[in-house]
Amino acid sequence: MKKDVPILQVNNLKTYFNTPRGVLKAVDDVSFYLNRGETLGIVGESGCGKSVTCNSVMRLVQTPPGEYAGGEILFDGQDVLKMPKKKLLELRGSRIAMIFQEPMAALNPVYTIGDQMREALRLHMTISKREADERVLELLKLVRIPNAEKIMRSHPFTLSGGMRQRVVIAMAMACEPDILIADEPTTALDVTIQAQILNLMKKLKEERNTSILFITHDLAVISECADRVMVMYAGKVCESAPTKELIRNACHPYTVGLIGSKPNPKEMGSRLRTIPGNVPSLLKKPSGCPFHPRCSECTGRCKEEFPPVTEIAPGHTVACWKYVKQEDGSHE
Amino acid sequence: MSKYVIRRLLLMIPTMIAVIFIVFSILSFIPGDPGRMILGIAAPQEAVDMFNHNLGLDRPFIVRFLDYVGGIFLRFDFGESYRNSIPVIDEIMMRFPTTFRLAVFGVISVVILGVPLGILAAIRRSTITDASITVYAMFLTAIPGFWFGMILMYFFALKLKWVPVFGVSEWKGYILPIITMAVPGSSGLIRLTRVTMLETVNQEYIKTARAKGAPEAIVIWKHALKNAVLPIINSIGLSFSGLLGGTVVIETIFSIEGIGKYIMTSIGARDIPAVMACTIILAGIFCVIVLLIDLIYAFIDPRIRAKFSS
Repeated sequence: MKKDVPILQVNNLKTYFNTPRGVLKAVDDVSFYLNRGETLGIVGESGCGKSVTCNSVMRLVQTPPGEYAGGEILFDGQDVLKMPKKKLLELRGSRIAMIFQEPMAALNPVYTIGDQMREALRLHMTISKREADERVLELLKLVRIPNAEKIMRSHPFTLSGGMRQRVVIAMAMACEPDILIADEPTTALDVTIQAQILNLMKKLKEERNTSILFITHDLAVISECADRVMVMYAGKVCESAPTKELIRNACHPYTVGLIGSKPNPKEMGSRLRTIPGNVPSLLKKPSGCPFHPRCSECTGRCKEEFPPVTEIAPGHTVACWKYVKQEDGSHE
Repeated sequence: MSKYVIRRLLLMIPTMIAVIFIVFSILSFIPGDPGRMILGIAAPQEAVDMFNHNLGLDRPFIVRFLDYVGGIFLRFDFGESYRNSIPVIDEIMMRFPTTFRLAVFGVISVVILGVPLGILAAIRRSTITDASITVYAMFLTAIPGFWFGMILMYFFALKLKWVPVFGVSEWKGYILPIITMAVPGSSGLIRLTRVTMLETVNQEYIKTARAKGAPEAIVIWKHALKNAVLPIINSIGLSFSGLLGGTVVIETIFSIEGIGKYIMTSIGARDIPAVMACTIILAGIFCVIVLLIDLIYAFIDPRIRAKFSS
């Protein structure tokens, strides 16, 4: 499975926020890797640490109040967290780029689309304004924006949400990054536009062999486009597996619940299934496995200690005592 | 865009007529007979009536009003002062350049002192820098202008003799009044700049700019400031028009013959033409400044520009 060296390797990342009410452990000991040309989906409910994980990868978390309390983020072998500021700026936008959840808010309202896209290019390349203009047109056409010349001269407020998200994607693709981080890129869009944007991203990935880190809370979206999926809960990774394997053979009770909560047309008319209880506050995280208060299979041990990560099939890891017991202590 | 400007300029005419009407009627109906005021209690009633007749004050209200408006719009004539029979517009124009210079340099100093500190506090939020700037701004708010002015005068004019004690006959005379105006005045702008910058740097597009790899200087000065600047400009414009109305305290401390003191003495003397003229002229200046602020808004923010052109 892990034949070539992953482009991104995150080891034991801890991103905390110091708030007046205590330390908020938004990302607590998270490890994952991303191969070249691969799409890794990160799924979880709101507030589970998905976005903070992604922001950490680009070191975009505001410090203070945020704090990188531990771990490393190896991009192409270099630790992003220890990089000098200048190197980090070179990395951002040029080798790792990001697409945000709210296309309405992600573009600066007082500059034209052209201004903002040219900036993305000229921050990393020494090209003339005319060359930049040509490249911008090319990029806008790449994301299938009609009337690219006109759009270039327009301000963001004149465009629809779908159009703006295309612009954001085009801007992210400007320097042909190795990794594209997409933080819920389709959540704020209509379903039809969603499909278009997903197809667009798929195509870009195939054409340019870009790795994508895809964050969403929508399992349908993830099964559509991710090669592998990582499920997060309360700042922890609870399960990670190739997409098909995960959908077919979900192991962690939380993943099972998440898949079970998806509306199923066959069960029309019956009540929608939910996971009982609420996402815990990250300030008052339950002891042991944070999911234990909502888990139907909770045992005494779950309340005391976070389970070790267990590999139950090739590439399929889960952090749950249920599986540790079965294999009687064997772990990765 | 130019259509919009012309429309706004034309709209100023009815606005000004309304202002004149309100000012004129209030001052016409307040108790106190001008003739009696000027000639004194001992004067015989016939003399008072004669005086009022000569000034045309015994004519009906509407006639006097139209006469007054006509005078302003056709001849820029605001009537004569009750005190010395000099046309009030001459009195005002004599004092206006001083007040104008004070206001211009005052506002420039307020901006220089206020905006950078506000930005600094915002980008260093929740640090010791931010806390110190906030405390400093609060401290400035609490300083009474007259006290600050007198302290400055004591040290720099009386002790060190760097600047004249009073008057603005030489340029050095402007220094202390401007500092007295600007230092306490900047506190509001510090806090406003800090708050609007804080709001702006939390916007998603700031994160986009950072994610593009833009250095912090570009993020703040290019992406954040242009978005945060609108309320700041609004506040600067309004404080400028406030300063043009004169600052009585400062003019009094530093013995400056400015508009503020003129208005105060005119009110004290019930010199109604002078009070009316000042009020109307200041209202006109205010209208022009508000229009300028709106135009700057449109220049900076394309969304507002789009609204104007439609």
